[in-house]
Amino acid sequence: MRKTNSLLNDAWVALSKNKAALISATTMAAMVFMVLFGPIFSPYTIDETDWYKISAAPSLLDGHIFGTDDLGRDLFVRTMFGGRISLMVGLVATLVSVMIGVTYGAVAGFMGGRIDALMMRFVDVLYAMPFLFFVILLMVFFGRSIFLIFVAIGAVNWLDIARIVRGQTLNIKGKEYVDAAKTGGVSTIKIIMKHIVPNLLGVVVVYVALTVPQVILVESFLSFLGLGVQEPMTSWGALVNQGARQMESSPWMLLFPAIFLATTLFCFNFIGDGLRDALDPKDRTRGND
Amino acid sequence: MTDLLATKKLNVKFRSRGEIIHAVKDLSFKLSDDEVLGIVGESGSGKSQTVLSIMGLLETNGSATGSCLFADKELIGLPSGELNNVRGNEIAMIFQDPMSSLNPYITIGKQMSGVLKRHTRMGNKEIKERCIEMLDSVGIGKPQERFDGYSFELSGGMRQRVMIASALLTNPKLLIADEPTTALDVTVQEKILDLILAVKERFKMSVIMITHDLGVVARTCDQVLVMKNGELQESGNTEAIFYSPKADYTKELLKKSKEINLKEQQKYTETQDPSIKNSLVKSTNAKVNFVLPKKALFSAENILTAVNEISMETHEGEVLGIVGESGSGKSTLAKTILGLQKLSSGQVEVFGERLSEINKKELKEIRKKMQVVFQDPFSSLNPRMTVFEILKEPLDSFFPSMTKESAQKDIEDGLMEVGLTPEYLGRYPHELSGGQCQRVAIARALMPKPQLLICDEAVSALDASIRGEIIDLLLRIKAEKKLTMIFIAHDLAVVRKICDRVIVMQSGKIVEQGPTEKVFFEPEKEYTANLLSAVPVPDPKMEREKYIKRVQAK
Repeated sequence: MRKTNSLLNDAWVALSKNKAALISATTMAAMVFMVLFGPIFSPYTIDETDWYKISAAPSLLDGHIFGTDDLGRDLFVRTMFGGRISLMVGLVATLVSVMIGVTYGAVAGFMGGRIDALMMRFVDVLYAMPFLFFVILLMVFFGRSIFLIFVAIGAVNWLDIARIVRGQTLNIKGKEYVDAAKTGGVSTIKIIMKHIVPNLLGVVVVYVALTVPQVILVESFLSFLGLGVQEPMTSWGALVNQGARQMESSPWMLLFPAIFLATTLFCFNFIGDGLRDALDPKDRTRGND
Repeated sequence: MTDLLATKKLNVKFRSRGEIIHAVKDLSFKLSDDEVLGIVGESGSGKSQTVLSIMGLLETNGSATGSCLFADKELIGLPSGELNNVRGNEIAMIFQDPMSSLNPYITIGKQMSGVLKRHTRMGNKEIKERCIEMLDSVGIGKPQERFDGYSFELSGGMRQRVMIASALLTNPKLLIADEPTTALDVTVQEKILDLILAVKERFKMSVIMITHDLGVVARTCDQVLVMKNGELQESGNTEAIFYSPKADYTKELLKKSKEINLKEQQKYTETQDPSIKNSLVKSTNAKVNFVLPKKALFSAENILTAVNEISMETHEGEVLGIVGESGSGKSTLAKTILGLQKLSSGQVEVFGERLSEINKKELKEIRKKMQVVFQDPFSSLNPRMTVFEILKEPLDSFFPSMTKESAQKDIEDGLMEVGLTPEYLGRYPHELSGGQCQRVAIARALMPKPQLLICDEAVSALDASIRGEIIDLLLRIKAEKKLTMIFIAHDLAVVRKICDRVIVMQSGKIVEQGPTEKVFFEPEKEYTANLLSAVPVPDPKMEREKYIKRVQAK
């Protein structure tokens, strides 16, 4: 008799067989570790200027292993701190928007009728608001903070997910197993959580894998406009931005943050692909019929 | 007569995950001019692969060896460029599902013209004339308008006519029909089969008819090949096969299909004591309307009445059949009884409670006594739940206080009851075959120990032999558990076999109802009689008489 595994258990087994996803996950884990603990091993801090080493090339001798920027600040420490912000924005904002979006979309799609119409018109209204205007409005009301970036990005991103999820839900709702669950006396909330949402996973996971990089880029765009993180705090987006300006004279300023950003984006895509395959029971090997 | 098509030692093999599957084994047959050849067998018998290999349409992992001469030209191994000159031009094909064989984004005219543009040098105007002429000849009204219309504007039967029309465009010598009427209603099937025979006469071609239905063979074919697991079991002319079959497999197939169609058949269920008239479901003037999308903002509401003033009763312990063509409202009626569809007017009483007047909690109590098995075994099981989770769900919701051990025991017992072993508990639906999935669905329906089981086309999507098994299973369970059953089907043969009483529906209304024997042998309404005579019977002589009668009636 085969052991009855839970969905997540099975998914984990399948994921660990996927080499690309496994390597990506390991790389991500290493990067997270580096970003959290890297600065401890550096003699410099994020806002300290080394007056003798302005725009210095990377060197192992003086401890500026990534070099310094045009203000003489250590680039290694800045890249690590920037990574904290970028990854946090990417993960937290995405997670929040996925949770809101999936629940909202699934409920709207499943309920249908007037409730659906009302809920989706509300989404349309939010869609109609220009993103920048929305961010500026938040800044004016609440003042600048990193927290607001989460709110702003999350508030906009869940709209997309809600729409996608609603469309998928309409499709799944028509399936006979949902009718069968209704006759089986299963409550509406349980039908949404057990029958609708698990079958949405494939779409959502792919969307998340695409959203995390997108969110990181949006944050860098906001930073560029002066609406994101403020100096001396920084993010990968902001660093890449500064580096691009100094590309010819000091290419390391672009290179190091860009490598970290690009690696992250790659890893998320592979992990996303792997997760989608792992969560789809149809992709697993068939038992003996 | 010369041979139009002759195959010798045709073999089809597929490579899949390192295994080699031998789909067709050493098949040799001949087809003469102006002849209809039937290829019969269950799914997996290699009948479709045979013709696909002739057409050069095998999947990329398949390969065909042997010889296949078509008008003295070897088709096997012909490069696809030359093959394209043959298929579509000299050999045309129509498929099972008319819904998916026409592209909904392109007009019918455009799709038909493509064939002529490839194979002839006709000008645009000529092509249009030819297409319209063909549409007209397959009995499509207003062919000019249809030429510029889209396929979704047509019904399934009309689409199949369009497919036939486009197959005829180039005056092919051979028409291959792969289960052309399996997806259609019986009355439509009758018309399409008649049409195929008529165009065969008119355009002087040969036809290969692939089907699993012996009745269709008896109605249309001159020669028959019987196949099983890729091997030829028997071949010969239709009368010989039907009246003096030699192979055991043929005898078995004939016996199975005749069993369902015989007049003096044995009833599985004992006859009901007429004094018991405890009705479980009773509907009075039940009506369900669907509001269709408006054509314009201020146009009047478009209302479709799917169930129109239906009054019926289901008595305790009986098997009630509901038959009708697609769109007759039989499934909507079932959903209404299950409380999945709201009534527009009228009343439905289930177990003495009026569905429109009860709250959620009471509805749940009723559903405990009333369960359903749906048509498509794959879509009625959640692909992300294991068999164990699927069976546990109704227990969780109806008996929340049940202990883990007794639930486990109930689930295992339930699975055994439908003929599966507990080792299936950890499997996902896609790891099961269609028949096994349907068994799981039946087990799920039986978990809350219902009194009433509604089967909505529960066996329609299954193969003939598996269909028999599932029907036997349902009947056994019915007898053991003293269930009442509502059995919805478009397959009249199945209904005749198992139902005590029958309701015939047409466009939302009841046409006729009464005891099965009476409805089937002394139908009062013309509609019922037509429906019954449209069912093909596996008896070539009888079918020929019926065909002659229909032709004369025209």
